[in-house]
Amino acid sequence: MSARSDWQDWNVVNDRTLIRWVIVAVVVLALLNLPASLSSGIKAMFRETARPLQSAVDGLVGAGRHFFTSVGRIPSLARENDQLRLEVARLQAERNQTRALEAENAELRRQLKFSPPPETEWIAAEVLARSRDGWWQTIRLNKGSGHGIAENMAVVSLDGLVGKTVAVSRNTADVLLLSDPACKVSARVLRTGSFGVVNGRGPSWSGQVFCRMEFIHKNDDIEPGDEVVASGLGGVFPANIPIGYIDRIATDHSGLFQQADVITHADLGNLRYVFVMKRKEAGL
Amino acid sequence: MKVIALLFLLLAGTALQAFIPALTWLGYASTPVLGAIVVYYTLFRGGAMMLAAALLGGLFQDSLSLIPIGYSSFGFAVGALIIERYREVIVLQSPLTHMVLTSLLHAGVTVFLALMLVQGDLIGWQPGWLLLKVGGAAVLGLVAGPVIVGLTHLLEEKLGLIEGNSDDEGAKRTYYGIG
Repeated sequence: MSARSDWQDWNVVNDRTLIRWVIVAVVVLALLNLPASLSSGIKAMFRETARPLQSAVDGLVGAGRHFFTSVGRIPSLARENDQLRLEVARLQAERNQTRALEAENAELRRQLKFSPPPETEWIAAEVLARSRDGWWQTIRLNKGSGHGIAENMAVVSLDGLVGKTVAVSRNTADVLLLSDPACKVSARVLRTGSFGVVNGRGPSWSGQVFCRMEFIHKNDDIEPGDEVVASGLGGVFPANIPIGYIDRIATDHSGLFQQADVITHADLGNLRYVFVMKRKEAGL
Repeated sequence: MKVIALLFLLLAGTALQAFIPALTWLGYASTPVLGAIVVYYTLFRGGAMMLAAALLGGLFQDSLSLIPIGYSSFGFAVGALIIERYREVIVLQSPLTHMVLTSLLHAGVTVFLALMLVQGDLIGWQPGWLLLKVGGAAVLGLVAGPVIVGLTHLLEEKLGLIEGNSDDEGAKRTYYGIG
C-alpha cells in the first residue's frame, strides 16, 4: 500500500514537472514566433516607457561621476588653478592661430564634400544613453519614427560615420556603432580607390575604438594615413562619408587580401550629438 | 496583490538592471537583478509565480535590448525549473545559496544567450570577450544575488505577502536578521 502511495506521489510530481516544461515550451515558442511587427511594437513600448527614466539615470550617473572625480581632485586644485591661469594665457595666444586653422578645416571639409548629399536630409539628434548590456555597441537617440527616422539609416557626427539605426520607436532610435563587429560598411580608400569592407573590432581594454578594413586587393598600394570613406555600395551608407584613416596594414591569413586597422574619425566613445541621414523622397 | 508585487519588482528590476553601468573588466556583463528575482521566486514561491517571474522577467529584459524576444525567457525558465528540482535539498535561507544560485543562473543564461546570438549571426564570435563576460556575470551574481533576494524578501514582507502564506514555510522564518 505504501509503495503504491509513493508511486502515486512520484507520478503527481512528474506530471506537475511535465506540465511546467510544457508551459515553458509553449510560451517561449510563442514569444520566439511573434510577428515582427508585434515584437518590435513590444520593444518600442518598453523603450518609450523607459525613455524618461533612462535620460534621468544617465544624467545622474554623469553627475555622480563628475562629483566623485571632483572630490578626488580637491588636493590638487590649487596647483591646477595656477596651471590653468598659465593655460588661459597660452590659449589666448593660440586663439588667433586656431581661427586660421578653422577656416582651413572648413575648406578641407568642403573639398572632401562632407556635407549632406543632395538626396539626403540630416536629422539632428542627441544621444540619450549608451547600451549597457554589452552584447552590442549601441547608443540610443532621443528621436525616432515620429521625426522621420527608420531602420537602416546612416548616422554621422560632424567628424565622420558613426553607424546605422537598427531599432526605432516613436521617440527613440538605437544606433549600432561602427565599432561593433556586426556593423559592416562597404568602403574605399580615397587615394587609391581600393575597395574593402570596414567592420568593428568590438570592445578593447584601452577603450580605444578601432575598426578593420578587410578584403583589400593584395596588390593595392595603400599606406598608413590613407583616408577611408564609405563606398556607397550596399544602399545604407551614402558614398564619400569619411570613416577614418588607415593605421596598420597586414596581409590576411589567406594571403589573397590585405587588411588594415582603421582609426575612426568620430569619437565613438564620447558622442553627444549626431545626425541621422534620411534619404529624400523621389520628386522632392 | 502577489501578482502586482511581482510586476512591480520585475519592472523596477528591469529598469535597475538596464541602467546600472557595466564594467569593461567584467566583460560588460549586466548586474543580475532580474536573475536574482527569479531565484527568489523559485526558492520561496515555486509553481505559477516562479514561471511567471521567469517568463516575464525574460520578456522585460529582452524588450529593452536588441536581443530577440523569448531568448532570456527560455534561459530564465529552464534555470528556474532546474533550481526548483533541487529545492528540497538546498538551504533556502542561506545567503550563500542565493549567491551561488544567482551566479550560476546569470552565467548560464549568459552562455545560452551568447550561443544563440552567435548562432543567429547577431554578434561576432569573440571567445575571449565571451569568456570574460560569463566570468563577469558569475562574479556579479555572487555580489548582487544576496542583496536583491534580501530586498525582494523585505518588500514582500512589508507588503504582508509572507505572513499567513502557509505554502511557504521557508519564507516565514527569520531571514538575514531582517524578518
